[in-house]
Amino acid sequence: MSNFTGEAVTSVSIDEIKKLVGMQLGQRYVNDKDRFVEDLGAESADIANLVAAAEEKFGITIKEAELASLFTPDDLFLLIKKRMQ
Amino acid sequence: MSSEDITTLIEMLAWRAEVSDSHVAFTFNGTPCTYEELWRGVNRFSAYLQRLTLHRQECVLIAMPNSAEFFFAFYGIQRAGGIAVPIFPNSGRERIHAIASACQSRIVVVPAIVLAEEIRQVKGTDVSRGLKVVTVEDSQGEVEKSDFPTIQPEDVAFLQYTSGSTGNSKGVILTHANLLTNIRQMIVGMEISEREIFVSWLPVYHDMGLILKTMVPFFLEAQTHLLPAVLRDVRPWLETIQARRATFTAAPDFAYRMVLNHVQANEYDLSSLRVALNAAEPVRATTIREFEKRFNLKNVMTAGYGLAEATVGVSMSQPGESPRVDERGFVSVGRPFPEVDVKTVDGEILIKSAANCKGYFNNPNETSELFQKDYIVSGDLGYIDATGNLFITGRKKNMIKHLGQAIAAQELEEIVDSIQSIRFSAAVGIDRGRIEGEQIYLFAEMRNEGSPEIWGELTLQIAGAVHTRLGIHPARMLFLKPHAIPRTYNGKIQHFLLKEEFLSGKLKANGLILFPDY
Repeated sequence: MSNFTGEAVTSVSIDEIKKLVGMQLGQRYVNDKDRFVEDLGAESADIANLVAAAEEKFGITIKEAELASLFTPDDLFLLIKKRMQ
Repeated sequence: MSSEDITTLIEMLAWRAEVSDSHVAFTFNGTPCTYEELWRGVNRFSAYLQRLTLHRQECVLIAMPNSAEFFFAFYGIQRAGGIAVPIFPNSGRERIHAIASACQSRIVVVPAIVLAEEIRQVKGTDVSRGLKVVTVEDSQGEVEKSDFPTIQPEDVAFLQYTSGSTGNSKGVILTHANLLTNIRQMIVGMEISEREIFVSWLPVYHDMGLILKTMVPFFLEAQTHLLPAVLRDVRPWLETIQARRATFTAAPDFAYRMVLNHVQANEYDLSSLRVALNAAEPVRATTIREFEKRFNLKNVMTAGYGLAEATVGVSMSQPGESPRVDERGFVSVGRPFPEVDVKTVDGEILIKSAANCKGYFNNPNETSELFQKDYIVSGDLGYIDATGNLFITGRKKNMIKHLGQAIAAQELEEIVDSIQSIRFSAAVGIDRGRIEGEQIYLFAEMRNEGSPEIWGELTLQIAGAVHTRLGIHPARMLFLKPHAIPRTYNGKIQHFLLKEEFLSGKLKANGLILFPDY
């Protein structure tokens, strides 16, 4: 695994994900189970941007079909963790 | 009287109320509204505005989402002699106030369904800063008066704000004559008849959704079925096309790409479509090909071109003809509509038409830059091939096309620059080649370098400010060292160069990006 800078990224924490989600959606307080659309006010493009940022940060690829099953920071965390194993 | 004689939008509605009274003007979310009901709602709201002593050609803001009430407000303002100023309903208070002050408006119409708390906040004198906040429901019980002013073809019908940046707002001035001209041009150019069945989720407060999807059908008494402008789910759009056997729909390329991502072949029968217009952002040949393949359609998706300064529609490729794609992959947007003259000067597209706007409201500087003799200077780059077909290849002005909405880079930069610890900023649109299309990237040079905590806090602050002002989220926010943003000798931002340096990794390699680390 390598990210944009070529440095190896080998681990991920839920706090990192929540921070990333907060930055992307302009939300100071984000909980594990907050829903992107209903609770955090995201539009579909915001989710695409969030995923793009996660891909660049963690050096992974998320398929567009997988977007449909990402509802919360926790979902995103589990998917990234799985990819890194 | 016949449709030939109509010279104003108000005449058009009055005539429809007379000859098509009990016929359905439009449905919203399936609920019909007849021409008679529409006209009554318009007159009631107009009478209400007269009681508020609306002056002739006074601007009234409308911050309402797609709804039947939007039309009562929009035409009610014009009926009373005023100028309607529809704005993005999620506009934050700052933007509402910026536009209200730019057009000296003292009244803003909002939906009654806004939460009680928000109304209380907006109606509070501190927050509304002298703006009177009204709803269409306030006009209920109003007696429909008969002494409305006569509206002239050269009266301004509405302003379409394309930029609301402080001190340089651009409200495109459209007269009744402009609108009737473009309505007729589109009817001929797109071969639209009264048998057309329109389905649209496009915002009714914005040109394509407002003019093509509601004024054109009202003019012809064609069916139009409107939906909320929410694109989280594309299914209601497709379901309505199927259920109503729609013949004409329109959307930016992004929306069709969303359909391709979420809907499988044969889930919907879209075979009734004659035209699926793809416009308001760059048209991708792959979208046309994939969409038609997915739903087993042939030569139904047309590519269109237009801009608010020419009312809305300028050209569209012919339905029933296969798309023309040049060697660089650009899709032709067809031949200009009748009585529209398009030429290119140094690669830039210039347009001459009776639908050309009168300029930008209260902005003589921008207005003088818009015109070159009888032509408007579009800011778009392109060429016309030997067969007379127009191709759009890029933009000269620095506009970001975000989900079909054009946003001036300058407007975003003003928001970022207003933050104390930011030295200088630049906004660019970047298309990563994926579903979401062009997205907003904000680059900000720090005054003092700072720390990850400070940058994180600034990201939240800026994302919040952009959302409050414009109702959108930037895709990325990057903090840079001073002088990282390339500029010309006289200080103009070189947006194109910045984009190139970012995408090629040069900014990163030169150690100019402070945050984030990816």
